[in-house]
Amino acid sequence: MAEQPRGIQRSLHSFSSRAAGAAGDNRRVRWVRSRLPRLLLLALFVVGIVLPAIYLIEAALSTNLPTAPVNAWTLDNLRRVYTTRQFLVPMRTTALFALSCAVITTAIGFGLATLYRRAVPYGAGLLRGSLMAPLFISPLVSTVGWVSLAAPNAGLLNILLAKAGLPTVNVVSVPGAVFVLCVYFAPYAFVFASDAIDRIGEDVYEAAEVVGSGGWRTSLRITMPLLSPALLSSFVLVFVLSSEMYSVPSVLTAPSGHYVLSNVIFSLTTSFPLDYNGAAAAGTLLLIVATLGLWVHMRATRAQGRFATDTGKAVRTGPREAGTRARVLSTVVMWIYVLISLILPLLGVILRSVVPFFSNNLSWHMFTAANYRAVTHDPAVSQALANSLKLAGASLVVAVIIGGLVAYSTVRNAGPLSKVVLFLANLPLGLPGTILALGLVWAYIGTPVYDSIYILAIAIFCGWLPIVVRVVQTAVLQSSPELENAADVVGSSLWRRMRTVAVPQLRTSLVMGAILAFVFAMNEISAAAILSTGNTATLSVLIYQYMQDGQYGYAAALALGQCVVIAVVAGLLLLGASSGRRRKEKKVPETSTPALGRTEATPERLVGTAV
Amino acid sequence: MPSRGRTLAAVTVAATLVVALAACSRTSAAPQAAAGSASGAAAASNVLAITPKLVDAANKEGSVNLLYAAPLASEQALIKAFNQQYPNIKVTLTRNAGAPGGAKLLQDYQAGVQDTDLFEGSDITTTDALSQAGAFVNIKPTDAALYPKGYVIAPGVYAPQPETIVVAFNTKLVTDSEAAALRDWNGVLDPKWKGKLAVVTPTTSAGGIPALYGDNTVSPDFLTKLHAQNPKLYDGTAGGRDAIVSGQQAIAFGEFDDAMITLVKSGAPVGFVYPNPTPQFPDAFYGVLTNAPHPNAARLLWAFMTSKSTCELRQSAEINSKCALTGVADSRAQPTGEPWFQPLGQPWIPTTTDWSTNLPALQKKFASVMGTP
Repeated sequence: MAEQPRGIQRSLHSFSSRAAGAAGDNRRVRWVRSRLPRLLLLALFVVGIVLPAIYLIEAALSTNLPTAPVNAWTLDNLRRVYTTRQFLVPMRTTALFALSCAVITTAIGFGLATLYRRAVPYGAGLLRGSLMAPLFISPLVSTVGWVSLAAPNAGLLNILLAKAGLPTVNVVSVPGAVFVLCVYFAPYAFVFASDAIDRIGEDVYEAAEVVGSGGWRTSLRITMPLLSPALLSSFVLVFVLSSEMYSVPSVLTAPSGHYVLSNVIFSLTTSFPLDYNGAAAAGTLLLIVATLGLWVHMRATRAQGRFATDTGKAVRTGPREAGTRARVLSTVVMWIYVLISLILPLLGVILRSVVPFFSNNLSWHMFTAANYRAVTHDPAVSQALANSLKLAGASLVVAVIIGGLVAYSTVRNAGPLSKVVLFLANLPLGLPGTILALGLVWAYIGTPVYDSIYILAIAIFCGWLPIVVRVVQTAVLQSSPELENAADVVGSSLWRRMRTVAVPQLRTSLVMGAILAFVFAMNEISAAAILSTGNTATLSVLIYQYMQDGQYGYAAALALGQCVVIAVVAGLLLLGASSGRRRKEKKVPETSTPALGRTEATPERLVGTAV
Repeated sequence: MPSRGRTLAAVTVAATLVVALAACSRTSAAPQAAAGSASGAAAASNVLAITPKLVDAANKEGSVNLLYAAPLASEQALIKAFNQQYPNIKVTLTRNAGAPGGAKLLQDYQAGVQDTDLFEGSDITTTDALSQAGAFVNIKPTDAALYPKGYVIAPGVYAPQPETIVVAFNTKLVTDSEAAALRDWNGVLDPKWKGKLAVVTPTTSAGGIPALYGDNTVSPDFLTKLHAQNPKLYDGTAGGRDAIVSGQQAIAFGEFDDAMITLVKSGAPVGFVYPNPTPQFPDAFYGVLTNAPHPNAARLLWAFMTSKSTCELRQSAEINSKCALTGVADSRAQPTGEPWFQPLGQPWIPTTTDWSTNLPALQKKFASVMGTP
């Protein structure tokens, strides 16, 4: 093992020598320096992502586990997955399920973002936070909330609807599951869309108006093409994440016999006789889906200059002045959405947390704080909270560094190395948590990383990496490199260019990426349930265990505590980001923007920074 | 082009690194697995009593790691009692229930990972596989003679606690006379319960065992008839319980009596009956790992968990589980005042062979008939 880093060094040295032979020492140094960040990322991804993926592929092609002393190659597992009814039927269900989620979620996210940016609602700041907030509640907990409200014969909402003589709803169904997932994933689409819409300068619309383009024509010919990277990112991300989602379908669709692929994978990894090889083979399908999605996305965004709207010109990018009527309408529509997506499921979870059991015959005397008391006295909670905060805090920092580096270096430097790095960063999208966890177990069993918090960290980092990269990548795609080029021309160092041009341009996306990574780390369950031990269990794992024991009240109480932690951290981050922005806006009033103030790095300032 | 060539070469180096890493981690695992088996084979068979010497040695180790399967609250109550007697030993609880927990332990054991001291399993088949791999120390509890047939899972692995299957129902949706009819195995097949049944899936939970038992013992087409009732399928007993407590379903087929007693006590609108005969199987079986990093603390905790006094403690209100040991009366606070309640009669206890030999085929049949994965 100790030889390997030297091996890399030797290889790098060999490449560098060849470059030097061709064009001298300067060129060699430049070659290595220009590729160093990507090579470092490559090395990280090899250890964290490629290694477990190789074990998974080996398991899919083997008769036994990769760790077993006796093993042989076979295609039987793949044959079973791709030809038998046991897998084909769930595959079809998964495809329909994920497609529905991706289309509806993207439409909701972009609809909300358009309303938010073009007809700014009253109380926009609070609304933005509220629109993002469904992400703070894990899908499993949110499902429990929805079951409390809209389960057939029992949900509180259904009881009220029935009393009012109105038709009831059934969330324990396939449409119910699609609804819950759309509500959960909509903030991702909203982030992609609002950030992209933000970056379209008003000059573009003004130019369209000058040539007499109407609203629809402008939307179709200008807005949609400019938003297409974000639309595609959102669609691909939601499609892949929905296709590997386990918790929501297991509660809402499985009872009525509609199983998705992740249900099958779960069953193969939990039912005797355990079939890890079959699970790994089933995982290859999701890997293929993710790879295809990524390929489509890369093809669609390869001519990246087309999407650059954030250029060196100082233009106004804030929202256009909307009429009062439009703003009132926007405010009402968005608060109704917040009621449905956030307040109702949260009420369901709160309700669960204050009753000893949930029944369709609730009465006031049943309300109690016993669940909260039990949770606060549970010795497992404090340790789980500490573990969750460690992992989520690390995610927060690493997301900004790694996520930003991947997105920035791969967009700004085209070529095969960038493509490989970007592909590897997105590879975990195709690895559901359960499958990734198995790969990590096989890769690291017998090493000090195994059964430690570090293996959990690897799994969690892999989970949020594609999401963070997508958020930042979309922003980089829309930021023209001309500002950095200008800084380069005036002799600004790389570090200075990053600090004064690139990072300010991407600040909003980086903060959003960091928040998403934090939330993901707090809510991750499928990999954590397999990889954690008594010393490394997280809050999500504990919530899941409570639910396994039927202690839904405890689970709801703890989940609400978890939501508060997430909301506080996310709120502080957003506040910090916006106060930093306001300070910048005061310094450079002529280039400030009401919403994001993202054009702080003007050519005029760049000259100043370079001197 | 030259730049592309260099990049591809860098990727090749990275791929070589991956293969080398893979080879490294595999070669490091194999010798440790061999060491584990060897120590397993050398395990001695004797009665383990709690002696001052054992307690001293355990205190010196100071901690013990327990891989457990029972509900967290029950486990914590037992550990609390253990720590009252042995306050200097910190017990770390790691939850990994059923077959996955056993499979992970087997994988760890074969790879030479020394982390778990004491295993509390709930899946007989994986525990059997662990035993065959030499993973357990062959020791006997002082009360070994009180363990009934079927509750000694393997040499050194003892189950002091059974799980008893009941048919549970919502008392607002099922009358007392209808509940009485559920004592017959065919009661759930009554057409009036069509679309009102929750069935626990046996492929993922032992709570679904009755469905298998019914097909094997009551009638060969029991599962087919059950499927015709259009039941909602749950992959754990908790989901089934929640469905009847909330009123989503009228009946849950395949629940555990200890959880139902707790629910009834809490005031939930539920009841339960023991079907005749009542499947009862060993749950929570304990074995000390031959490669335990804290062997003395593990033995002390094992001796505590398998003792008669702890078995009696399991029947306390806090835990509410039955004690399997012969001669220990069922002292749990049962809902004797309820009109639907009748005490447990003669249970049907499957043997290890029943589980290991017959269960996989029956599970396959269940999946095929019910359309589960």
